[in-house]
Amino acid sequence: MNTAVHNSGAPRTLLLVLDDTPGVFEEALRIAKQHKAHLTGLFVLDATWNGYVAHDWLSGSGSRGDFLDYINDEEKKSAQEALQRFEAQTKGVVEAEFVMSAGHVVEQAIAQMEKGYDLVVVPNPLRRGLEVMRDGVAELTRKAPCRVLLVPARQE
Amino acid sequence: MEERGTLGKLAAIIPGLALMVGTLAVLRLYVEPWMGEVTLFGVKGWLVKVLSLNYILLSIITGMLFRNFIFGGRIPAWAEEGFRTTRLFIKTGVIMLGSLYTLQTLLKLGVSAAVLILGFVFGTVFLVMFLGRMMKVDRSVTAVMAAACGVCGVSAAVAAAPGVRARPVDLALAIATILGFGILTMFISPFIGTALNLSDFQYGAWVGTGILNSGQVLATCLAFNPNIAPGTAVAYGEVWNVVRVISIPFVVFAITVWYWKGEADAKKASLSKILVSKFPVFVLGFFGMTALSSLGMLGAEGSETLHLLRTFMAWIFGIGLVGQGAYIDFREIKAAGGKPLRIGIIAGTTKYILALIVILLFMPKEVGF
Amino acid sequence: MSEKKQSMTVFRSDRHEDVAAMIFAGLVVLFVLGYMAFIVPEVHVTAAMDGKVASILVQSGTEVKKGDTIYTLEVVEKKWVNNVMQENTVIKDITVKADGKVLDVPAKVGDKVKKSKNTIIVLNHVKGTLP
Repeated sequence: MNTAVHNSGAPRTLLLVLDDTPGVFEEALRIAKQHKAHLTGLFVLDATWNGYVAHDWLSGSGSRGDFLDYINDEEKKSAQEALQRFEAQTKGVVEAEFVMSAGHVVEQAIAQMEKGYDLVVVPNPLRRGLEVMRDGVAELTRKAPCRVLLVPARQE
Repeated sequence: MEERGTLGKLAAIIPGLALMVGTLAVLRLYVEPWMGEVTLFGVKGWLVKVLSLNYILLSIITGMLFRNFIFGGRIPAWAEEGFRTTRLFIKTGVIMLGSLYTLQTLLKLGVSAAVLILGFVFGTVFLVMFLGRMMKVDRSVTAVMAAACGVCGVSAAVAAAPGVRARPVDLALAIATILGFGILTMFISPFIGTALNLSDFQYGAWVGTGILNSGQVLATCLAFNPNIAPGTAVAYGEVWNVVRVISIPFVVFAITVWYWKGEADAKKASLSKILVSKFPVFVLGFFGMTALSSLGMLGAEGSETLHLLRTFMAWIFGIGLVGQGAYIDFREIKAAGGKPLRIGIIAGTTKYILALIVILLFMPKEVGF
Repeated sequence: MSEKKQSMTVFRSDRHEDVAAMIFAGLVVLFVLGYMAFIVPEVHVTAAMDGKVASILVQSGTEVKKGDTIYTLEVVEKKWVNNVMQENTVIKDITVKADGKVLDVPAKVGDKVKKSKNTIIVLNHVKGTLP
């Protein structure tokens, strides 16, 4: 699966775009362990919900505000869970770091990639936030400044 | 994004707004007149007569072209703030529509609208709850879809979601389903209306009752008959729309109560709190405008004053609709799926067809305005 | 989480947006009423409906009062009778909506006119009234 990695040398730094696709985290962890690479987990809080419901002109009073607050809280909860899971699974296993940012998921991922990584591990399809509704992988691979490993969901 | 002052925020609106206004100006002043003259398939004005294309549909279509083709799927940052004013324009247009009525006509139409809507709201809510149980769907998904299919589509889903702990991913799917269904019906309803020889009153009542997403009711009425005057499709459809909007907080309350009844950690829903936080305040402006019109303060029917006022309304709606089109993302709608889509299609189609049957059977062609 | 990114527009909530829409609508109405009542120098009174001018009852210089018939139109009236659209040709009296003096009558008897497009008379209305 990771012939590309071997062909161009072992990755020293690894970026994992986090979502809840089963099996992807494990794959990134396996590669990091194998190459003793530094693993960065990126969790993007999706801040594009405002645009997603922007056409809705019938909402009254605090309706949309409450909705966005609610989504915001849900996103924070997901981020917290992702952090706990990330720490539990990487502690003492690999050198790891958890990064959190907010905005458009693909844009934020690209911005993080531009900081310089040997390989980025991306779930396919990407299911973080509203990316479930978009073809995030296509955009991400098109714009990616480094090598990308797409990992499909593990069959459970 | 750095913090900006009010002036900075207003300045950020200009580029997107200029694009919306410019687009409408080209459509209304050049494209629409050209379409009326051009001969296709041997028919003069084929585009208008057969395709029912008018500036309303063109505005929405152009907005969609901007988003999906010219902008490549995302509204660019320079235009984003401007396009977001779409809601302000539509709300302003809706408030001004209040001038088409007197209190008597509003009351008369409002009662028939309320009876029809009430029947359909509860019918759809029960149908969705039944479908939810049949398909073994999560209660929070059922609740959101019941609110959305029952009353006002996306706005009802947005209003109901926090109270029923809906998961963001389900919400995204539900919203795409409702919006997709709304857009589909927005484009096909004018054809059906014309084919079945519906009157403006029947058409307004039908789409006002049957279209899943209220956001598309006005646009589809204007697509059927672009005139803004008492007795036109938009004048009827708008009454239905207002009744639906007002009912959102009540339906959300009922559904929230239903949801928490089935949960172990029961929470109490408060109608007064929901009313305060969800009531659509712009509806008050609509009633204010009706009051002014009832007092005869806006000029007599047929006067040049009202003509100018309605021309302004048409422009305000048109500008807003370019923006509405630009918030329709084909990819997002295509991604609709899962159980929300199945529930939405069954409930939406049932409501749409049943409303048409009820209108054809029981609604007269005309009603005094 | 960036709260700023979630801000709606210049408005903080839908309530603000609703109030702004009410103010906007109010301003548009005020502008239209003010313009028509006080500013517009002469009003081009256009055809009230699509049809054919049957007669014109005023001429240049005629003083008119609100409610006076100024012209008649031969129009095709559409009515739904037993689910069928019936079309009857009728003559409609069209009245003037404000007091004033007729400045010009560009339309002629027999002209085919389009609603809100063709000018029938040019009126100098009494300031403060809504023509």
